[in-house]
Amino acid sequence: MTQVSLTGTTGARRQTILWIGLSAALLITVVLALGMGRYPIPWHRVLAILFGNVMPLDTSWDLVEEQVVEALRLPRVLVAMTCGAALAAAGVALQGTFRNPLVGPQIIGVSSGAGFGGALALLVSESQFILMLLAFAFGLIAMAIVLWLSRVGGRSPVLMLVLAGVVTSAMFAALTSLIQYVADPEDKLPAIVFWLMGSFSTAGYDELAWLLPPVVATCGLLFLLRWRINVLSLGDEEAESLGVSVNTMRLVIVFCVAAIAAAVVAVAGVVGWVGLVVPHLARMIVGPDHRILLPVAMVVGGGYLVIIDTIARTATTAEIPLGVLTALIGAPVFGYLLKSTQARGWSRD
Amino acid sequence: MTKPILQGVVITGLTVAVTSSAFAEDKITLTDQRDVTVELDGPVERLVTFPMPAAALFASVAGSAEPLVAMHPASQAAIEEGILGVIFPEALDVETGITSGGVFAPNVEAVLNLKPDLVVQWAGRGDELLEPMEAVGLPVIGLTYGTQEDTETWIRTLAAAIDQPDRADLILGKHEDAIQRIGAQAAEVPDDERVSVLYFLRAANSLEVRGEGSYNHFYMDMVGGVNPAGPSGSRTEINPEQLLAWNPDVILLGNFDPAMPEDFYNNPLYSALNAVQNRRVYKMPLGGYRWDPPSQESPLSWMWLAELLYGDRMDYDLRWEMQRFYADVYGYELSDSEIDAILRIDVNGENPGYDRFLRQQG
Repeated sequence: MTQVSLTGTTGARRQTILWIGLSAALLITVVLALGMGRYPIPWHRVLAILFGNVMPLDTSWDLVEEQVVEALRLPRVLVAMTCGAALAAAGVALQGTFRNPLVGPQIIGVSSGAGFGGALALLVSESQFILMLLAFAFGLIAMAIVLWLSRVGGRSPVLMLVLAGVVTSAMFAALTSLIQYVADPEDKLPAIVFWLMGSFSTAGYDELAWLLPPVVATCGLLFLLRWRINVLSLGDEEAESLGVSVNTMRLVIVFCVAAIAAAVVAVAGVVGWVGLVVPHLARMIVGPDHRILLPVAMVVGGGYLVIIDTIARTATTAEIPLGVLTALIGAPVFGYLLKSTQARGWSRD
Repeated sequence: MTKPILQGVVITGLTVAVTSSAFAEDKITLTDQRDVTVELDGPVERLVTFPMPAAALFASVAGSAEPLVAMHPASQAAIEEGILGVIFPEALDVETGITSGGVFAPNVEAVLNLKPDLVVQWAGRGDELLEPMEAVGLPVIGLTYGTQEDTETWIRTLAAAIDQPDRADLILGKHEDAIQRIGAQAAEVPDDERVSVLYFLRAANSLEVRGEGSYNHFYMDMVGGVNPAGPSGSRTEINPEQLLAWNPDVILLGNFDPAMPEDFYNNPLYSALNAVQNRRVYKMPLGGYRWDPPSQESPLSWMWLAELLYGDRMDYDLRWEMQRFYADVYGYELSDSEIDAILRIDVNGENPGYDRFLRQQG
């Protein structure tokens, strides 16, 4: 095992070093991402534009360049980072709670519900606001159905939650297919198909403002509950014996995950794989202790999605759909991680 | 000396035409774009169409929608949206319940029930769209779409199906004339006066442009425009940054999406674009069919764009051309307010270059 121990007195210093390293890596990723794009702007000018906000600099750049960096790239990078961090937190929380390394936010049916809401909005309206609203609303409706289906005798066992998620997911996937079937093949259908594949191409500060409240609230809650996730990951009986109300905790965590998935789908369409892959990456770095795993996964997830989105918007003239990249990159990475670690990160189980 | 010979040719030609059409009362042979041959007992009287533009194209070739017994629901929506619903009101009552299990997959029993003597379906989008109907003995022709040659083939084939090849000559004559006249005038435009023009198929929720290999690129190039999206392939989804990098002089918004010039003018991100600063973002017209994809009305669309980009270098009177086209092809007299509606004067009228399309005062 190459993982360093991060708890105890000697761990404290290692943790500080880890955090400095991770923060620096994220910052460099963000700055590099801001310097790349289809509109040619020299690196030094990108930095000048950024620093120009906090210190008086000679404004030698033209307005278009400033707009590209601050009104196009910056909000998009921030939205991608926020979505990545939130999806990673959701993935860590779910995997810990369900004691199963193969679950991600998509498994509980919320992405599917939110995807349906978005497709419905594209079918019946032209408004971006309605799109986000319906996607979020149907994400929560899907979650309500999952929770209702999974309740057995006042409890929601893990198996029932997963099965209810599969059922709900299938139902909303069918409804989404129905929408694609009735959509006008010349105007509505291509828009729906592209949106379902996920993209940050229209992300601006409006989307960021939409995204932040639910994400900050739910990720904050998950962060506060991180040691309880540790307890839950020991198993139901052990957790009960330690005085944790397993059922309530599980519902709270599922609610947080659902809100995150719905918010992300509402802003960016269906972005798969991040919530599944990133927790494994993070577990390789810091091990299975959720007190540190959760925040580390958020930083890694933020950087990961910024990198993927930078490829999506810069590699070719055309925008590459995000869902294609997250799966094309995410699936092999996940496969490699599984093969090379043989689930050693799950030593606590 | 040449006159008698010419007369002789004309007379022989007439004889041949008469015999062949007398013969065609019995049999009409059509070859579709899959090279499949279909033999009909006589001119088509009950037609079913699946491809979206086929119904409108057929009505314009036949000068009537009477022979149409069924069409794809999207075709009917397009007819209802444009002026063809006024010209051919009978098209609005035609059956549309002919698809099943997929956007263009036929409901074979519904189609059989209509007893069509010809079915028009997409070719090259999977045999399952055609084969089930052929298996029960329905006469099916498969057509492909997207280029000017395809449009010409469609018009010729549909005219042949009703045994009125002169209708195809009439419409295609207008296409060929426009290509030659505009092409010649466009060739005169010096390189440093060429206008860069970008067409958006979609611009409301995403930005989708068209380059080489697309129909839109074909006519933007033909009228002398320079399409910055040319090299990036026929259909491309771009981001706003790419649009800023290209910075076109003129932006065209298509009719498959609700995006309007105002959306560009009011978006602070686009304030640096030449097309926005000069207020040269235009919604494309919508006549008997959308003017952005290929259709019978394409010549009018090319004239519109040529006039828009190069003004006095071109010599069309678009309003007059439209009236003539509608009279010749649809047998319909266009009013001034109908022309205004087709040209989207309401959203384009204030933009520079559009004054030439406005009604003459007094």
